[in-house]
This record gives sequence, structure tokens and C-alpha cells, in this order.
Amino acid sequence: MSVENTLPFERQEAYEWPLAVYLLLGGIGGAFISLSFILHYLFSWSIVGNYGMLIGMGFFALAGLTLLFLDLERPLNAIYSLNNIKTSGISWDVVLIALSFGGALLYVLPFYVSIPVLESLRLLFGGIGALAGFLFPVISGGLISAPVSVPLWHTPLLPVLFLINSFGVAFSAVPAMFGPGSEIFAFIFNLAVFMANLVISGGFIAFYEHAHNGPVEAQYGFHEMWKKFNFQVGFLVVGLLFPLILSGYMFFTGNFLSWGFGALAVAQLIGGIALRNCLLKHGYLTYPWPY
Amino acid sequence: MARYGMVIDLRTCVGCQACSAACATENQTPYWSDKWRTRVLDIEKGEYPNTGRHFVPTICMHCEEPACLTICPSQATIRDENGSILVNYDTCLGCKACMAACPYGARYVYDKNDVAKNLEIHGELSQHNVVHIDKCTFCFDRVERGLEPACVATCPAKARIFGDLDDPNSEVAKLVAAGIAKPLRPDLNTKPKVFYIY
Ligand code: SF4
Ligand code: SF4
Repeated sequence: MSVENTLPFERQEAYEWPLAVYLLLGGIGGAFISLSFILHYLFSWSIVGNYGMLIGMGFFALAGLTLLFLDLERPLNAIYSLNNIKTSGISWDVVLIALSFGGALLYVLPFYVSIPVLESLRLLFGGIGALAGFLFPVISGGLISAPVSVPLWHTPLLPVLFLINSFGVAFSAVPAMFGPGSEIFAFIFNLAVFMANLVISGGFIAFYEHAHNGPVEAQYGFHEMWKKFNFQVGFLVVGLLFPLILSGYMFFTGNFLSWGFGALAVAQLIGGIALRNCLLKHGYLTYPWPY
Repeated sequence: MARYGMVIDLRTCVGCQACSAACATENQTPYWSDKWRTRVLDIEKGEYPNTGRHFVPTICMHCEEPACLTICPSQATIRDENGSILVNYDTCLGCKACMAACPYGARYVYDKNDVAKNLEIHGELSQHNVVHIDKCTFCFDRVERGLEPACVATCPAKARIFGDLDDPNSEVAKLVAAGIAKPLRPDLNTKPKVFYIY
């Protein structure tokens, strides 16, 4: 007899696609801000430092202010979300968005207006924004995986997958938008994307193991997720295999295709949203009952 | 102060759903949207001809280590002096993190349609005037008046027993101490204060 017929799984319908998109946009926003800061600060790539930061802020604005805010049942009560900073990771997510957004804003402002005090503190603001941007996908992934009650999500792999996917998108989108700069930069960007997708593949195999050796709810949730077109094609083929093959081809041949980075960014974006959406939709099974 | 808990005897539950109806009436929960603070799961198990039907009443477990309490960003989820877990309707932002964190599926959204419908039915006496995440309160207002929770008072099979787990003379404390009544999924470490005999 199948698990389906014997177990009364509980499925909480708490989260829908807006949260998946929020996690994706927030992660990419953070990655953009971090990467733009590094490229500007270390390599004086000012166009990326300026517009890359602005793009990251745009993602954050869309994710935090629009999607998350509208997804709350009572958006104006979000003011209370800073109430429980000692114990609630959600409060920290809000703080990280604010820090990353604020830091990036103060870093970008001197491109447009001359404020000497801002210019002297630019490194500090940029660093804060970049660090918060880096931490955002880690914390939001950690939040999703924290409840022990949802066994499919309950693994430290999720924050890692969210982080690597976000940076994978940024590493392909930056050269696609601003040009790779030089042959060596194209090589580094592509290597980063290739490595990111290798790590995601390894992480996914470990996640598969976790789901199959874990509690019955995790097995069932994974099984349900596995059957979906969205997962098979959206995440596995478009989001994982295609970027792995394309970046691998560019890495081993040194042939950086003109459309390559753009295609990589779009594919990873699709894969990222497919994975997050499938996880939120099919991960939500708990089995607390004795029969 | 007391430490209230409940024992549910699955051997005597007849699945009549009187507890769900009593709770919905007492607490104005949105039965019209099929949302309940307490439900009775009707579970069929086994393969024909060896099948069996089992009734499992569910409720908020008023955990001692509640996953919902720590995750709540706005401190809308609180613990009262008797250890019951309550929601402050005014500060709840509806982030639903508590719904995701609760392993027992105890929470649901009291949404704007439910609020409107409740206002239509109960008018000035409506208990739910704003959107919030709702769940069982162990009928704290009834308990304050010396009454039992509505589900306990209504159960014809006496399948629900309510009392102070810290009072060694209470029936719930005795059943728990004797190991007759056990929590569901103790491995989740939420330390539920609702125990089952099965
Ligand atoms: S059963 Fe769920 S809602 Fe009730 S206290 Fe435990 S975690 Fe919170
Ligand atoms: S939905 Fe309300 S009670 Fe639940 S965690 Fe969010 S603010 Fe707290």
C-alpha cells in the first residue's frame, strides 16, 4: 500500500508563489550589491559599482517592499516585525534588507552628488551593504529550513543552495549587462558560474539523499515535487544542466559566446524560481498523527 | 499558576464532531470557510477487508517549547500565565511563519472575508474584527470563569479531559505521569501539553 493511502499528511497552505519570487529577487539583489561593491572597490569598475548597485537595490525594493509587503495579511503591521529581534530570524531578514539597501544607496550617492562626508565613509557603507546582501540569502534560506516540522526543508543545504544560486545569477548577469571587461574577467565570471552550478549539482544530490533517507514526509514531498514538469524541466534541465553544460563548454574551450552570459543568467533565474516554488509547494508535509 | 493541559482518549472518541461544532460556536471560528480550531480527522487504515476507521481530534498542543512562539517576529504569539499559547490579534502581521512552523497544523488565517462574514452574523458581538492568524486558546475566557473548554464540556464520549498538569491530583496529571497519555511526535521537541491515549 502506498504511503499516500495510509498517512494523513497535514499540509499547511501558508506560502504561495509570491514568497518564492521574494526569496529569489531578494537573493539576487543581495548578490548584485555584494558583487558590484567588490568589482568597484577592488577593480575600480565604476559602471558596475554604480548601476550594479542600483539594479541590486531594485531587486530588493521589488522583493521586500512590493512582494513581501503585499503578501502580508496586514502590511501596515509590518512595523511590529522589528519587535522580536532577539529571537526571530524574520526580524533579521528585514534588518538585512534595510542595511543592504541603505548601504548601497549611500555608496551610490557620491556618483551623483558631492557630499564629502559620504565619500569618506563610502567604503564603510558599501561594505555594510555588501555584507548584508551576502547574508540575506543565507538567512532567508535558513529561515525556510529552520522548522523541524517540515522535514523536506529541514536541512542546512537550503541556505547554501539559495546563496550559490543567487550569486550564480549575478556572476552571469553582470558580464551580460556590462560586458565582461576583458578575457581574463570573462574567464573568472564563467568559472564562478561553472563552480556555482557544480556546487548546486552536488548540493542537489545531497538533498536527494536527505529526502530519501529522511522521514516519510520528506520522501513523499520530494516524490511529489520530482513528478512535476516545473521541477524536471524548470529546475533540472533549464536551471541546472543547461548552465552546467554551457559554462563547462565555455570554460574548457575558452570560447566565450556572445550570448553565453545572458543565456546563463536567464536559465539560472528560471531554475531558481522553479526550485523555490516547488519547494514551497511540495515541501509542506508533516505527519504528526499516531495512525 | 496552573499549567493547563488536555488528554484526548482516542479509544472513546466516536467522531461525532460535537467538539468542533461547540468550539466554532463558542469562539466564532469560520466554519463557513472550513477552518477549525479543533477538527476530528477521520482516518481509514489498512487494506480491504482488514480496514479500520480511526478518529483523531486535533487541536493546538499549547506546546511548552512552541515553534510558533519563537518564530513570530511581532511577538503577537504569546504565552499566558497558565502556559497557554495565545495570539494578539492587534499586532499579528499575518506573515504566516507560525503556520509554517507549527508541526500540528493548528493555525489558519482568519481572512478579511471571514471577518466580514463574522460581522454579518454576530454584529457587535463579533470576536474577530481584524484579519489575524487564529488558533485554539484552550478557551481561556471560559477557564477564567471556572468552566471547562467548550470542546471538553461538550464531548459526549468524555474523550477529552482538561486540567492542571502541575496538580498531582488532577486526572490529566495522573494519566500523563502513569505514561498512559502520550504526546504526539515528541521527537519534534515542542513538548506538547495535549496528550493522547491510543
Ligand atoms: S501546536 Fe502549533 S500553534 Fe500550538 S503551541 Fe504548538 S507550535 Fe504553537
Ligand atoms: S502570522 Fe502573526 S502570529 Fe503568526 S508569526 Fe506572523 S505575526 Fe506572529
